[in-house]
Amino acid sequence: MDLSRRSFLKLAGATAAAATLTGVGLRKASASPSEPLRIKYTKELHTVCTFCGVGCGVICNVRDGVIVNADGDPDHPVNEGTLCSKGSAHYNISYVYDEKGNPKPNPKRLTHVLYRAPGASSYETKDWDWALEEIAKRIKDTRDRTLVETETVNGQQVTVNRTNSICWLGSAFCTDEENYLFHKMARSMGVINVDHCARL
Amino acid sequence: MDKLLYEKCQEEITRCNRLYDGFSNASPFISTICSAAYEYFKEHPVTPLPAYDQDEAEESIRDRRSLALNPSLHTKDVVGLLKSFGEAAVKTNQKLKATVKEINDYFDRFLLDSPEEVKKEDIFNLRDSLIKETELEEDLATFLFSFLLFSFYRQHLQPTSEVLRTDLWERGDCPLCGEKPHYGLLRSEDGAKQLECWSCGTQWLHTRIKCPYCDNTDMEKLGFFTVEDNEKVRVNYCQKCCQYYKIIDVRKFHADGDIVLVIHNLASLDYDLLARREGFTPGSGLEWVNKDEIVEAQD
Repeated sequence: MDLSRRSFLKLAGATAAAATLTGVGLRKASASPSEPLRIKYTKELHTVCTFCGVGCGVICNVRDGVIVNADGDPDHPVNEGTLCSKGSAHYNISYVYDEKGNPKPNPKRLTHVLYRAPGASSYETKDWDWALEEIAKRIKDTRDRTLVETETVNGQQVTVNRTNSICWLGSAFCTDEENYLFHKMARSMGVINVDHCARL
Repeated sequence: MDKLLYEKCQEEITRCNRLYDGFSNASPFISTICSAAYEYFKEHPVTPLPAYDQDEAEESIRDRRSLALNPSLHTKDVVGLLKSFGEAAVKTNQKLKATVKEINDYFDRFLLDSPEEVKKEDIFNLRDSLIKETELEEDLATFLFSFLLFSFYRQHLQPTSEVLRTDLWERGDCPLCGEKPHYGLLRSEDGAKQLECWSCGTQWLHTRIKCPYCDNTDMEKLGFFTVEDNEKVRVNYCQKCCQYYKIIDVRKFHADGDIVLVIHNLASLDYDLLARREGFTPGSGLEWVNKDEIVEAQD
């Protein structure tokens, strides 16, 4: 049996008072089982503010699946922790208010892909894989169907490889590099209607 | 501890009395300990170590290597300061007289058996032996020994601290001494997470949603808990490494000037107890909770 001097003295009942933080007044009392503290677990999740083209980084505090607060993301290069008044309040988007003015999570908040087929009167729930594949398929179909390969200019056949049936809208939330790649992608498909959302 | 820090500590104790329930019972002891450190260093001033070469320090920081400065301390000074802490404890609680005498006898033997200078690991070995052999419990031992190192290292490393490019540091451990932090704050101006070394007092910014111990950035495995009706202390945890640290949200209360986090850490030890009971371990390696306190809740 491994018996330290302290254990031996304890067994012999010959010990002095235990020197603890409690003994000098620092009692961790409020966390005792008789008066338990109620713990609230919160997750911090990154997102981007939806209001304008600046694209500020936001940290959403999520408790039990509900957004309870939004902070400017201090590590985001665009806003470095700041948010405008709209951005600060933007977590309210996820709430609706009852007759008494109390907030509750908006039951109609979009949390998954909804699809309404041509001619249909209602939406059906789809997953993201389906949606992305469908978008890609339709872009390609439209492009292949409407591609103009050549055009006569001054009596001569000139290669143009363009489609007028698709418009590509870029985003101010994207980085320069992302926008460069989007632009390349649009041009390579023959899309000539390329525009951008920044209208600040 | 210099005069400026001493005065800041006293101001912080007053503020924490207002901010934290129950801390006023402990503040006389904390205040006496600060006075003891101040008086000790007034009589035994510390000579700061020469500053680290600025270029070398910057190169090390850019290479993501901590300077890992852990200077040896004079054994006599270590024992001297610890004994003055013991006197402060007896002043607060006379019942501890016999215990402190027992501990002081242990210190005397340590002084005889040790070389003139001791390293940080020797000091922590002394702490562990005291817990095993005397009536000193883990939580008080952690406070006394971490405050001892804080008092010495802050002064020893001050010249290097002044030239250290902490703005280039992205890791979770201390860029100056290499220790892992136990607490930090969210800055009032931008909500940035600033960690502070419990050992040398160095402060540096760290990515808000990232574990300082295992570098995990998976948002689903990171989070914090607070206590109902009190949002100023957060216990940040990582479910990947199951470790925690505390963050004081300075945005939740009015605070002019610097915050002395050492005092806030003491005032918020309830949260360490909660974190231990929730199954997390302190990433800093500093155990602020006694084993019987953790077991109590599980019964």
